[in-house]
Amino acid sequence: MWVSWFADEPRGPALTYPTDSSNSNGCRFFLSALWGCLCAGIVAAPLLAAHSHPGAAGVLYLFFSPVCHQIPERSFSLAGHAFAVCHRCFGIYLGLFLGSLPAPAAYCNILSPRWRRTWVLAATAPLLFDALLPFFGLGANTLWSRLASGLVFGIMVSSLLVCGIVELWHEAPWSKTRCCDSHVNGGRS
Amino acid sequence: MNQEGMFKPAVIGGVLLGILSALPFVNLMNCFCCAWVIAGGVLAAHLYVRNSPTVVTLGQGIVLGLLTGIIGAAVDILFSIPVRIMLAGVGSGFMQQFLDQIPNLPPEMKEQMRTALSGTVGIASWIFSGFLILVVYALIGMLGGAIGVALFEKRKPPATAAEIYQPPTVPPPSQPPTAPPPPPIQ
Repeated sequence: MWVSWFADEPRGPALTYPTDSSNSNGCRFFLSALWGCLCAGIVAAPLLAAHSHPGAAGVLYLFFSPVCHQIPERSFSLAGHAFAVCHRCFGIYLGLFLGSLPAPAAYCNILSPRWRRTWVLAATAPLLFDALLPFFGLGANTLWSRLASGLVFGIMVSSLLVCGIVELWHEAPWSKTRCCDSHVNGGRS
Repeated sequence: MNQEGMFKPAVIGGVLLGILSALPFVNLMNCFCCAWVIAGGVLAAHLYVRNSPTVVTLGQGIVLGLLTGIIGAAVDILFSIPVRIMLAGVGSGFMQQFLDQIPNLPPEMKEQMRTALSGTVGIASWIFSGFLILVVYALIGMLGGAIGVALFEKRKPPATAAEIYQPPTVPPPSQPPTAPPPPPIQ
């Protein structure tokens, strides 16, 4: 089963849409702004709590509470208060932000179906090992292992999102690329 | 984009993630990188890729994951209502436990929330928390959909015009016809 995943790989381009257009850069900037705001919120929560803004800090902690355990011992701290998420989640969000900074061409033109799968598995495995090893008594993770595994996972997910959003934008009915570029339809207009 | 074909996988993935996210203790898995939400998106992507006659792109996976996250959030909110009603009978202990699950919450905020959640204002806060869950699940669901498509879609995407168009090959210069040999002299 595992061999068949990597064997018989269709070779071909990963993306058929132009990745250096202004629309592609617009998608990239939108994602960068989104993840950047989330990272800023994570860091802002302890600062707000330290500067007598418990309401705003509480909202931020509440926002991230469904997706993170927020254990203070496993979170970075700033001004005497913990971040809104743990080390691993902060690595993921930071990876999402950093992964959205390069131009889409850096990912989309090289991520064929084969390499996409390899990339997903290679970036997810460290996260799973780091999270599950303590449960099986095989070792303990550290601050840096949690941060690094989350960072790699976040960069991987961000690369997929950038390519996907670029594809979506070019497939949209209002996109000029969809109607005017014949290569979108494989050479047929 | 096969939007009709997306609905069924999204419902299956969304219902599963919503139920698992609403069950007490089981929903703690969401604290580990939103495991159930991502799993719901991956499952929906797997079902969609398996039944789609055309190549599924990452963009379609993102839309599918978004839909799955929204459905999952709705199911989670609906399923958590009877759970909260059952636990409300326990009294203020449940409220204290719920607030204690957010360790970094400032004490002043905890007191305000305890007051807000115990009265009629609790309905507004319930709606607010439901909106937060909807936003978070939709965002994380997108990630799950993209990951699922990347994992399970093996077919080749449509070729570009540069691949289909084959430039005419220049034939080699033809050899000049050789003259027939002269007849033998008799």
